[in-house]
Order: sequence, then structure tokens, then C-alpha cells
Amino acid sequence: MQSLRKASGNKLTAMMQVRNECGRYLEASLAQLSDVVDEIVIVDDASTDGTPELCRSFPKVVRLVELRRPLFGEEWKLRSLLWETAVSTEPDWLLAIDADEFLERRTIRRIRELIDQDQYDWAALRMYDFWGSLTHYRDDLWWNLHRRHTMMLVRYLPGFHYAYPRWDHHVPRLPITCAALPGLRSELRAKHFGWAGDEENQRAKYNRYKQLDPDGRWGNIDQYESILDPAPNLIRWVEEE
Amino acid sequence: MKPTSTTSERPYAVVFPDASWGNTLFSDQLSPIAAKHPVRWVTNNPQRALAGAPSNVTAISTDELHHMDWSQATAFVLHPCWAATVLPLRPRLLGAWTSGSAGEDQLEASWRGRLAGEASFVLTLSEPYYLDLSFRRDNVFVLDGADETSDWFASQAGLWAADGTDPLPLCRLQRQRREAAYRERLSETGGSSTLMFYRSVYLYLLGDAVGAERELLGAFEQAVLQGDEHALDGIYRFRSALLASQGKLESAVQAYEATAITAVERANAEELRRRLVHGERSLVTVMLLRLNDDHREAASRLERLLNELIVDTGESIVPMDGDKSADQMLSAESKWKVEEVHAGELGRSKHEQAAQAMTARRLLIDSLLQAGCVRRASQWFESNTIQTARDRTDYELLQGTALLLNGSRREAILSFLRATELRQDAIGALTELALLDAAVKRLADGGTATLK
Repeated sequence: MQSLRKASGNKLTAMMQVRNECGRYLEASLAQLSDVVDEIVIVDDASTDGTPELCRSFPKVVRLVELRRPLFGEEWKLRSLLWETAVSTEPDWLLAIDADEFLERRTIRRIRELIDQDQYDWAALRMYDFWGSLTHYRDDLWWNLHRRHTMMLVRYLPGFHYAYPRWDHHVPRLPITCAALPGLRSELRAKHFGWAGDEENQRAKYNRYKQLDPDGRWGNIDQYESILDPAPNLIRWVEEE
Repeated sequence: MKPTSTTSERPYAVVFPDASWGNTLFSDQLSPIAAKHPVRWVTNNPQRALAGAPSNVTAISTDELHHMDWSQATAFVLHPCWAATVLPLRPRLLGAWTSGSAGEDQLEASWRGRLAGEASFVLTLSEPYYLDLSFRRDNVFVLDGADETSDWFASQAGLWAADGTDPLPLCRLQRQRREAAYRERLSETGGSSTLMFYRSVYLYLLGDAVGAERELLGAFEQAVLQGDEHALDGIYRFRSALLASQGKLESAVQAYEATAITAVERANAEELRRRLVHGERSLVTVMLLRLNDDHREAASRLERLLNELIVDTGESIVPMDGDKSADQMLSAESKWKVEEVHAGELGRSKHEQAAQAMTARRLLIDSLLQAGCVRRASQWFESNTIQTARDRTDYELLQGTALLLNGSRREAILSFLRATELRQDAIGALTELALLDAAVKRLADGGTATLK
């Protein structure tokens, strides 16, 4: 019977949910992850654009679940399915990452330090929302995720009670119960390119949010409106090596 | 239905008070008993102690206590300082009544624990103390005003005892009622971490470990959502006891290890894993129960385990020569006749089984002391296994306390003196005795008392 926590030789598995990602950031994301992690597990939420084929072209994708019916409207089920699929591959650590998220180069260089220890069971990074380009991130009242920490890495403890809240939208990327375990709030950074597209792309996302959550039940109406802010506060990104 | 009393003579109640009749904390509970039974009130100052009391509450002095027929009497002990007075009398039933732990100093808490451990049953006014005690012993009741039916069971326990009947059957009924009350509150208010956790504890005490685990996991999720810093050690860790009691030891050890953060906790987890690999399942189970403060179940299992390890001649498999090391024990195999204890533990060497038995004995003594069962603990403490001066001091102190509770005051004092010769601070036991005597004197005079 082995200790639950290993200080070295940990297998790192990336877990990702995707949906119609062709022509966006998925290929670049999987290329980066292939250099960083040991294995990749993906749940495809009923894509219709050939996303699964793209995923399969990366050898480190060891498991790909293709849903025929989308679970986007019941996000906790989608997250739970991804989690169960990922842990079935017997990982030591999991990196929960979206298809439009990237690790800064310094983070990549130090990620093994984060997981090859036996003192804490999760690590949180600072996530930056890039806005309108891949050169600037947004920093204002409604867009300041980077001022907090986002839990992205967790140690998998077999037998532990992992649970997601049964919410339809805005479900945390990792089981909430991980937060009870000891963790590290790191200053290492990650980049979110989901809002890095042009104005037309942003308006399309705005319309989708308003359609899915017109009353702001799952999110904040003012934040939805801020997507259309004509002059958001943008700060130039300087990559740390 | 109440079982019939086994005695033909009418039982009577003797109250060892916490104050005068007019000032006792338990007047609401004593009045119904006094209405049905003659009550003897221990006091040397009846005028002060019994002012305003009903006519069938009469005084009995401390000198008269030794001339009573205690085989027909139920003692209601309302203050822990009476412990060394009442326990040697060996009443038919002994009820320890206590408000809870608020405002007590360590010494008083220690005597309250001993009284609670040695009593036939306990009644408390505090649910946290009730649950704490329920993990140390059976036959505990709470009367806290939270639920009318629950309070009724507690009141009945007092009446049954006064009538000479052990109230144990009511204990489970009260637990069932309290579990149901939490279930009802949860259905009215929705998910609450605290309510779910309490319900889980009650289900565990009722023997439903599966239901308790389900409720506990719900409590854990709620606690995390509410940002409770103690969700892991205060709630989730209990899962290891629930899994252990279901026999799922590998999962139980994993559950404990997930919560092991400090160096001590990690060492505990390491030991659990090591013993599990060696097949010491019985010990792993009791260790997990103890790590979750369930000394009641741990002591029960340890006593069974040790009894299984007794040799046919009545000798224990622990060495008779306490000065021998473990290696020396191995060479003294002629002394052992080791029985196989557990199907999963077959084939272990005698040396390993002897070491296991020594560990079991050490854990049992500690769990019994945690439960306040001083006299039972002293029976398992063998002087010939003592190796250090500290152990010898602890032994003398324990024996002294057990002797005191058995009424052998002079022998107890001699034991305390021997402890003092080994370690100066053991003089505290003698000081404690003087404090107890003074407290009893004040209580018997109709006053109140503390050991501060």
C-alpha cells in the first residue's frame, strides 16, 4: 500500500473539455500541452466540426470521450464526466485547462516543481484574460481574474470524495472538495485567449451569454454588459521566461 | 415497555448534591423523582441543605452512608467531587448528572470524566458533552430542551433508575429520536453542514455507518462551499471511522491519510499503512477509531482482541518478565501459547503477535482512561511490563486512583507517595485528595464546591 502523496515521479495528466474548437486555439493548446504533460484526456461535447479528429492526431491524448448529445446546458455533468474519465487513467496530478488557455513559459519550466512534492495537494495560478489581441490583457472592475488565484492543478488522491456543485453553468473546473485539502497559491501565470478575438467575436460571445443566462442567474449581468465596453483598460503582457 | 425491577424490595434514591435543594441545577429533574420515591439527600446540615424541600426528601449524613444497604439504592451524583465517596459504596445503580463542561478547570473536568466513566449512566444538559461522552461510553442521556420527545426519554431514564431499573434501553430510543429530529430539521431548512454532520454522528452511534457516511459527505461538501477551514479535519476525517467500522480498511486508511497534514498525522498514516500491509487489521481498525475519538468502540474491540490472545492457562501473551526486550521475548517462546486471532492474521510469528498484544494493551489502557474507566484500566496495567521511571509513576498514580475509587484510601495514599518518590510533581495527587475532601465537606454542608 503506497503513500497517497509522492514527492517525485508524478504523472501529470491534462484534462480538457472541448466543443467545436477547429480553427481556434485547440491545436496550439494541444501542441503546448504535449510538451508539458504526460497524458491528455479530453471530453468532446458533441462537436460537429471535426474537433475529435484533431484531438486524436496528438499521441498524448490517451482518452477521448465523444458525446453525441451536448451537455453544455448541464455543465456539472460535463465536468463530472471529464473528471471521472481523467481519473480512470490513474494520474498522480491533473491539470484542468481549457482549449483556449495557455501556460506562460516560466510556468512550464516550473510545473514539475509544483507537483513533485508531498506537502500540498493543489496549486493555483494567476489567470489573465487577454482582450482583443494576444498582446494585452484586460484589467478593470469586471475583468480581474488575475488578481485572484485559479486552482488548475490537483493531486489525485484515490478514494477521496471529489464533488462538483450541481450547477448548470459556471461550474468550477475542478471538484470543489479539493479546496479542503492543503494547497499552494502560486504566482505562476496562465493566459486565457477566449476574449482575444476581434470585436465581432466578442459580440457573438456576448449574445450567447445573454441568450443562455438572460437574468444573470449564473453570472453577473453587469459583467456581461462590460464585454461591449468600447474602451476597456488593457495592459501589455510581458512574457516571463 | 419498561423492564420490571429484579428486586422485591422498594428501591430508593440517594442524592449526592451539587448545592442545596433550593439551588441545585437539577431541581426540574429531581422533582418528579421525589414525587414518586423517597429520596435521601446527603448532607451534614439538613436545615440549610433541605430548606423548601418536599417532605419525602430526607437527610442522610456522610457518616451514615456506610451503614446503608446500597444493593437497593440508586445514587444520583450531581457533582464530580463526590466520586471518591460514592463509588466505593457500590450502589445498585449510579447516575452521574452534569450540566456540561462550561467554566470548569482541568482538575474538575478530570474528576467529572472519571465519575462519568465509572457511573452506570450519565445525564447531561449539554448536547456537545453528550456526544463527546457517547464516544466514550454507553448509557448517556441528554436533556437540553431541543426536542420534547428526546427530553421525555431523559426524564424517564431518571425515573427508571430511581425505580431500580437500568435505563440503557432508553438510550438508543433517545438517539433514534434525536436523529429523526435532525432529519426533520434538514428537510425543513435544506442542506446545512452542521445539521448534516450531527445527523451523521447520530446515525453512526445507531450503527448505520453507511447512512452516516452518505450524510457526512453531504456535510463535507456544504462545509467546503461555506469556506469552513475545518472541513477536512473536523468533518471529512470522520469518514475514516465510518469506513473502518464497515470493514473497508484500505479505504479507511486512505481517508485518514487524505486528512493527514501535520507531521504527527502523517506519521499516524504511515503506521496505519505499515500495519495494514502486515495484516494487523484489528489494530488498524481500533487505531482509526481512536484517531476519531471513538474510545468506546475502540476499547470494546481491544478487550475482545486481548481476550482472544490470552493463553489457556490464563496467562497473557505479553511477557511475564517486563525487563526483556522484544528480541529476548522471541527467545522465550516457551512462555507463549499464542492463539490465532484473525483469519487475515494467520501465520504471523509469535514475536509479532506478542508485539501486537503489547500495542493493543497500551491502546486499551489509554482508551479506558480517555473514557474515565480508571478501575478497568488499572486491571490491564501490569506492573511487570513497566520499563521506565515515568511508566512506574504513571502506574502508581493510576493504581492509587483506582484504589481510592474502590474505597482503599490508605493504600491509595501509599501509592501516591511511591509516585512522589519517583517524580516530584506527582505530589499533585495528594494535594488533589485534600481538595476533594474539602469540596465534599462544603457540598455536605449544603454549599457549592469547585476544585479551583
